[in-house]
Amino acid sequence: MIWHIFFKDCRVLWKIAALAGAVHVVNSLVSIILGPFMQPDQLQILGYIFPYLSMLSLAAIVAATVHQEPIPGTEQDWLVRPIVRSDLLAAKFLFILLIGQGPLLFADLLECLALGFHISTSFEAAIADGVSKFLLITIPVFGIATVTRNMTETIVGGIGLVLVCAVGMLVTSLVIKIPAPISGSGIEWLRSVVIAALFAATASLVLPLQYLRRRTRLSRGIIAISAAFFAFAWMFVPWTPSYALQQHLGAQRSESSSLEFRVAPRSELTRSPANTGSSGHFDALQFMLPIRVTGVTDPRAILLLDRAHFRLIDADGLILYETSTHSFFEGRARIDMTAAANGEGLIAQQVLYIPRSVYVEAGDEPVNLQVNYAVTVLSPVTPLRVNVNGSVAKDSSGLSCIARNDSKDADVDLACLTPLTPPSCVNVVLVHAPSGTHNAALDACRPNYSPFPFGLPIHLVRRFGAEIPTSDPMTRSPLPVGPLLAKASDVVITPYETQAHITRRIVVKNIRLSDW
Amino acid sequence: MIVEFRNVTKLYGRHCALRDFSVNVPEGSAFALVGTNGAGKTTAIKCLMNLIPLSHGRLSVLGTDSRLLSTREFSRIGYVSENQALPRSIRVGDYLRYLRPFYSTWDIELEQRLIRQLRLPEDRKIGELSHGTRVKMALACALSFRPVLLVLDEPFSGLDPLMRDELTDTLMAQLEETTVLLSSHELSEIETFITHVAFLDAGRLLFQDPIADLSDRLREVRVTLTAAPVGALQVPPEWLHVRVVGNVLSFVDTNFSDGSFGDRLSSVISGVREVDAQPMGLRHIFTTLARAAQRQESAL
Repeated sequence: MIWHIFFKDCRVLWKIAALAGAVHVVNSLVSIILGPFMQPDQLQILGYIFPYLSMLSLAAIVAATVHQEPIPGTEQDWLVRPIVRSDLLAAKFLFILLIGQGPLLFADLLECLALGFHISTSFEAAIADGVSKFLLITIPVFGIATVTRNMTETIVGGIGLVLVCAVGMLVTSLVIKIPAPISGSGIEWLRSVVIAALFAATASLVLPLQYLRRRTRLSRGIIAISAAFFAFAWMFVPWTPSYALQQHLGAQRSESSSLEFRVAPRSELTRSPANTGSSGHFDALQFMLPIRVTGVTDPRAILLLDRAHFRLIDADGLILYETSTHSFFEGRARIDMTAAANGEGLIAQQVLYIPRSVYVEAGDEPVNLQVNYAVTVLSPVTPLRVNVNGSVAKDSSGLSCIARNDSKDADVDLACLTPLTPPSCVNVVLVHAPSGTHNAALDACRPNYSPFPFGLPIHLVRRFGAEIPTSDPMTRSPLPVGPLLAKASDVVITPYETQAHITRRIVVKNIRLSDW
Repeated sequence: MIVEFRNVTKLYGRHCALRDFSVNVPEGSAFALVGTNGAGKTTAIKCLMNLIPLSHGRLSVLGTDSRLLSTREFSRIGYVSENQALPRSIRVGDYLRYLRPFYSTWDIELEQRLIRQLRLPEDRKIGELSHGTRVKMALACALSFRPVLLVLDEPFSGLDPLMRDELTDTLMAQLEETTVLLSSHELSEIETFITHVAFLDAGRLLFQDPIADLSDRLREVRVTLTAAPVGALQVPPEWLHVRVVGNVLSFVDTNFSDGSFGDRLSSVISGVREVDAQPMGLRHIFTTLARAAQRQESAL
């Protein structure tokens, strides 16, 4: 009877299904029309609205499907019919997968193929998007819909849960006063996985409870508890086990194991007052801790700071203060290892902000400073070379780039697209091959160490790019590859791939903050 | 017995909607649960259909514990309720066609006859139908598979007289092959076809009887005396609504018997000139018993 129920739902819901499918397709068409440079500007607003409409329409069709046979209450006709409950549940899943998610998969494929990605890359991206939306939208909406009678109740319930989660997170962040441990780092993708696992676990309890036993009150309680866990998971996915998992999942190259972090001689320690600090302390002192990094054998490698966790520990072993940061100095998390490839390595300045109150209280006491580093070594892969004349270059990892002169024919606009996980770091250089000249490299890092594309990005196809200057922004004097040469130049894009995730600890013993 | 309530109790928090309720519905009967609003009729039916769990007791339907009702039993039970939430966005004809494969006994000819008889608009969405037409639709869904047991919860509520007649006629046509259990306070509608009745008040069963026994057992009695009685009369407890106006004594005898009535009457009062014992309609029986129950409750 599974197909029989499925076809009944098709007959009843074809209008809403068609509308939802149309929204997915229009979303993809808007993305295709916007292209790599997100133009024309007038259409950009649609490019930001339609992804959300697409997610909403998926949620709407899931809820509408479930509400054909609402579970709470005692008046529903289907309750007195000889309908096998497990058949009904299976039919709902079937409808959601084929009619709810099917058009989404089609639209995703259409978008990727139309934007020029290889069919296998397009399939991989579309399936990853489908799985992500299934776990992060379909499953929770399915769960909420089973404990509500109609769309209004679902919307009210959904908004209520979101508000509870938001308030929970806000209160928690105000009380704890530290940012969520994995926020802003390359392992933030694990949060989506934890939340997806939470949703899946909740659904695996709620759906059988509702369809087989109709225990609405208990199911609502489970969903409420799950919402509390959601807020908790968002804030408190712990760093250490998450990073250990990332290390386990990520590639580990043996040469990276020789990487060493040592604290530089104490004479080089400096301190200066600062009005603001990285951890939100407005009255803090800035301490500079020079770190000598050695043991890197590949001079082309870069080192990305995932987290530095500081602990000030007094003589009795009591933690006086602890904080963490995702950057070394001036917001930079990246160190190019070119200079470290010789035996002496290089010095990286590590900034540390200590609240004045802590300094006043413990400044003259001998303390131990412990720094736990989590860093990732990345190496360049085969660069992508794209001519400024507007041709497209692609690589095997699903990266597609295009470059052109900007509208004033002054600088060069670079746009790259990928439907998969974008590279964590990229170097971009404007090269004029005939003359052998090139400008200084631009670099950018936005680490994401996810081994598979997962999550709810606004756009299926991620865009990133750069406005590559051909003249000095301050003096407006031409760079080596100036506006005239730029038209016949290439942009060389070098993505970096992860080599290893490494943890190191350094300890500075018996130091007085006042002596620093 | 096709349905057996055994000491069934249903609690909603502290409120007891059904208290120690025991009723047997014989096969082939048309059994009416009768009572005031809030008496527990709908609760009893919802427990029977396993729509709500019972708190205590045992309830067996077609020989199966009501809590274990499966598709096998549901394929033999037809159910119509005044508040039944049929799917709103599906057309009448489509819904009937959707239900067909779930019932091995579905009779398409009967379905078509019911559609004609009840004048159901096949191409209209259920959500667009009036309340009365929706009830008729529910009845067509419930009768088309020739159920062994037909459960009706206040089916006549909110219907105009014409629709009530249509519904009653349709039901009566099915009585030969189906056991009917219905709750109603539209007594004049059901009086013509029910065979058994159970009276509920405040979740308690007052009594259950075959309707024939009830008609025989209950009489509205008017006794004309030679003179007005002096002092308070000591009347038996089965006499309800005892009133004396001048030399006329009137009451409802709930245990009437042609053979013994004269003796019982003369043991209570003398000087009887004339006795008129009239059978009572179901509505009159219900109001008499309900008022007596309310009076008893307020006396407690």
